[in-house]
Order: sequence, then structure tokens, then C-alpha cells
Amino acid sequence: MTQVELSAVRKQFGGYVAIDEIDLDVASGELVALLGPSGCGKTTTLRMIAGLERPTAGEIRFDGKDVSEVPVQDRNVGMVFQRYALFPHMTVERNVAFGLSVRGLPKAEIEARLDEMLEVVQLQAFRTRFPAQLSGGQMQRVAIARTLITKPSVLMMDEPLANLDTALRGEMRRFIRALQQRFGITTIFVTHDQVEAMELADRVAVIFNGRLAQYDTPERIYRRPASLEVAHFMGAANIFPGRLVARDRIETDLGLLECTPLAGMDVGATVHAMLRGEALEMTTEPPPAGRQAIRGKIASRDFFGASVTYGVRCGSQQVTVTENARRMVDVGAEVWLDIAPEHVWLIRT
Amino acid sequence: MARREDIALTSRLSPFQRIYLLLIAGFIVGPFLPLIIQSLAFRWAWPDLMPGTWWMQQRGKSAIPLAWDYVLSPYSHIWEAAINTVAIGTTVTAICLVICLPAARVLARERFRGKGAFEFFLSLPLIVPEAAIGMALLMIFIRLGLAGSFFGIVIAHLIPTIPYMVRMLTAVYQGLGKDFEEQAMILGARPMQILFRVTLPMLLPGVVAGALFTFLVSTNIFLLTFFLGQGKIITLPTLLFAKISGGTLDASAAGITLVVTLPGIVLLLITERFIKEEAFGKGFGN
Repeated sequence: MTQVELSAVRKQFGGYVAIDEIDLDVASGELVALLGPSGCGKTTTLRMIAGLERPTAGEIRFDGKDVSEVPVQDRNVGMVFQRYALFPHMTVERNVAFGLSVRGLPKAEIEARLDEMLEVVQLQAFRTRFPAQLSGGQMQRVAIARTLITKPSVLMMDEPLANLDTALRGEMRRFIRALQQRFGITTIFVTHDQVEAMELADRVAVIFNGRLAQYDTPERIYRRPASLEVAHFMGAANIFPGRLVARDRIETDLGLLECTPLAGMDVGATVHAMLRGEALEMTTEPPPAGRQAIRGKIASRDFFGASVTYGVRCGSQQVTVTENARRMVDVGAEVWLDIAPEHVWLIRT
Repeated sequence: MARREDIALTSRLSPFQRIYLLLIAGFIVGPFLPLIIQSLAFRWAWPDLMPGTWWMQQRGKSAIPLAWDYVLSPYSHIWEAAINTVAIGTTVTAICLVICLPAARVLARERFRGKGAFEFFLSLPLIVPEAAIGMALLMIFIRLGLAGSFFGIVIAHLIPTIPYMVRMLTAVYQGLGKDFEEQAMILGARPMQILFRVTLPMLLPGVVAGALFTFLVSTNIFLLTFFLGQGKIITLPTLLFAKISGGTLDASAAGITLVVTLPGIVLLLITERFIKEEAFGKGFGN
């Protein structure tokens, strides 16, 4: 149980600034994702927490103690690399026991902890195999076991689900979550995939260009992004520039939209309105009077099995609507989009 | 078309491929046949396909020692030369590894100013004629008192072997990601533990290949050994050259030549088993 804190951490490689300045607070036992496009500095941040890189400025604190100068070996952290980095010349048991054997623990204790750990990750049957003889999911379980057996205070993972196929992803996600809850271990992982971040994390830190753009729960990051950049990165399709004409009304190219007022936004401010494609109600009949509805025509349809995505042309604008595939509306059909004010999210420009 | 695919699928060799393989094998093994015959011959004159008189037939009659009797006798100095050769080769290989492992690591992983020039500088010994190196070294070594000494020859042998070893190990290091060492570090391993438990075992195939190559190059160097040994240190190549410098390849020279090839063949057989043994597989994820 360790609380991790980054305060004004900066990292430069020569003249290149990898991390401008980051403050991050990870509560004890929390599972946090560092999310961002490649090259944004998220892996560097992780490596600094692990101790593989030394920050140029700022402090990294574990439970309030500055560890910036503590060498990797003594930091007692765990890291699961993206490609697992299993030692190919060692069997599963020797891989898992590595951390204990380099610490010179007595043989009996190593055996006992090894047995226990292999039981946890359900790899007893594979203990004498070499990594080359394992599947991707098994390799990852070995990598996790090898890390957890040293009882690290912080567990770090680099793109934990990226190398797995869809079926395995769900299984590994539940497995990682369960382990994390069971050991109550503070976990930080890096990903460039917003789905992976939302699937796993308690909180997501979105990083752009070496700066923390937003740090919040997955739901809030998805529904209430703090900036246009975050909204775009989280896959928002419908963003329309506009002007607040009243505290709860915004004038956009789509028309006048009723929205939830947001503190700190004055009338007359130029803002962006974000409509999540799955929050829009699409009807083929005009909705009853008094509802906020926009008329349009279906211009395109993409079928994804469980869901359907329609492109709806409303005047000069195109709105993307995602629905359950319970019905199919044909291209060219006239529809109405029912927009609930609580689903219109305002983003500052 | 279908037939061709069948061949590819069953991985059987076509008649052409088989003949080709046989030709190559013959090309490699072929030169040894006359050597072996020659070493066993007493008289082998043109145009006989086989020796007119064999060594064994003359053994009792001859007053002077015959080929193998001579080669295996103390007069030939072949044991001394063989021991010297193997000792020098082993020492050179060990020192070469110690020098080249850290160098290769830096060359493979770091970027620094003048790296290209440095790499060129490293391959210079392959370009400069051995005689030039030998002459220059001899002048220096005579001053230092290293001429005619075991370590003088070892140092001289390091010059043409280091470029090969550095190149081989750099390639191996490039194939080994930093991940493994970093992972070991995070798991609590100290630098020496990382080197002996992770890095070296993972580099083993490359290290073995490099060591084998270094050893073979060292055991085959004639000119440098000849210059710097000053006749005090005999190795198999210098012994052989002394024997055949007259221009005749007689039976005892053929015998010595065969003995000279032995260390390499023995080493090759040992290392090949060694490399194959472990289950070095992919195991790198993905």
C-alpha cells in the first residue's frame, strides 16, 4: 500500500523536453492509467516512477518520501513490460523466482513463495516450460507473477492488453483487476488506447506533449472532457463551435441548443458543444412538442454487429449517431434527433 | 506448378539441389583427401593415382623416421607447438571477450560524437597489411622486452581479432533489447548478477560464435607469430611454414598440416553442441 506523488516533475533528454511539468497523485491501492498518443511522455513518466530515468527537476514521492535518488534495485517497484521481457533461457519457475533468488533468500522460502505465486496465476502446470513454449496470455501471467512475487509497493505495466487478442483481453482485464484488488497494490499503467484505459482504470491521466491534460475518472473523461484535445482523443465525433446566448442556451451551426449551464462560463463566451453519439435519441417520427429535436436525413450507415453508426445530415452539419443494432434505418430516411440538455457538454476554447 | 509446391511443402531436395550440395561438400572435404593419402605415403609419384609405396611397408626398412613417426616424435616439436597454439588462442579469446563485451555494448546502444570514425578505426587492422603491423610491433616489443614472449604474441594476436569480435558482439547486443536488463534491475538484481544471469546467457550463442572465430583466427596467424615469436615460441602455423618453406609438400608436412586443422575441428564440434543445447527460442512476447 503505497501512495505515489509526482510534483512538478520535468524530464529533458538533451534539448528535447519529454515531460514539461507533471503533477500527479495516485492514492494507495488505486489503479491509474496514463493515457496519451505515442511520444506524449507517458512511458517516460512510468520509467521515472520505476527509477529507470531520473527526473531533470521535481520530486517523486512514495508515501511522502522523496525517492528520486533511490536506485531502481532499492525502490521496490514492479514493472511488467509491454513485451513481457521474460528471460528466454530460464524456465517459468526460474523466471518467477528470479527476484527472490537475486536477493539471496533461503531456498525453502523461495520454494514456498514460488508455489504460492504459481497457484495465484494458475501456472503450476507450466512451471518447467520455457517462455518460447507459452502463449501470449500465459507469458503475461508469468511476467505478472515474476513481478508480484517480490511484493512491490507499486506495480507498473506498459500497455498490458495491447499484445492480446480480443477474447484474451477480457480475461486478462478481469485477471489484472482481481489481482490488483486482492493484493491492494497501487498500480499505474501506460496505454495509448482509450478503451484499454477506461476498461481497467479507476482514474485516467490524459497526457499530451509532456503535460497533464486531464486527470479524472474514466466516465468523466469520456463524458466531460476538459478540453477539445481530450474530447478528440477520447473519440468524440460531434463537436460544434458556438456562442453562449444565455446561461443554458448555445447558438451553433446546428441551431439553438439547450444545455446544462457550466460554472465559470459567461454569456457571450465562444465555446464548443459536444454531443456523444450514443446519447442522442433518434426517431423516425417527429417527437412530441416541447422536446429539443433537430430534423435531419440519414446520409450514411455503418454496421458493427452490436451497434450501428449513422451519419445524419442536419442542414449544413453532419451528426454521428450510434445506436444498438435493434433496428436498421435506411439511408435517405428522414429522422429527428432528440437532444437532452444534460447530454450537451460545453468545452472551453 | 503443383509439383513445385509439393517439393516446397515436403522440403525434399530436387536432384539439382542435391548435386549442388554434394559439390560443395566435395569442395570442402576434397583437399583433405590427398593430404591424408600423402601423409601415409612413402613414395607417391606422378602419374600414379595412389602411392607406389605406403609408409607402413617401409617402416622397418628405413633408417630415417617416416612421416607419422616423425610427426608424433619429440623431434617434430608438434606437441610443444600444439600446446602453445591452444594456450595462445585461449588467452587471446578470453582477453578479447573482456575487451569487446563492454565496447560492443556501447557501440550497439549509445550514440556519441565520432562513432562512425571510431568504428572505421576499429576495422583498420583488417585493412593494414599484417606485415606492416608486425614490423612496427616488433620494433616496439624489442624495446619493451616483449619480443619472443608469450604475452607479446598474445598482444599481437589481439590486434586482428578485436575487430571481428567487436563486430560480432555488437550485432548480438543490437538484437538484445534493453528490456531484459532493465527488468532484471527492477527485480532487484545488481550489475554483476545481471551480467552473469541475464546478459551473458542471452548473448551466449553470439559470444560462443565470436569466441570460436577469434580462437580460429588466432590459431591461424602466421606472420605476426613468426615476427614476434622470434623463433622462441613455436606455434602450429610457424612449424608448418618452416616445414614447407622449401616448397615441397612431403609426407611429414602433410601430417603436420592435418594436425594443424585439428583444434579448429574439435572446437567446432564442441561449440555446435553447446549452441544447440538450450531451448533458445523466441520467447520475447508477440
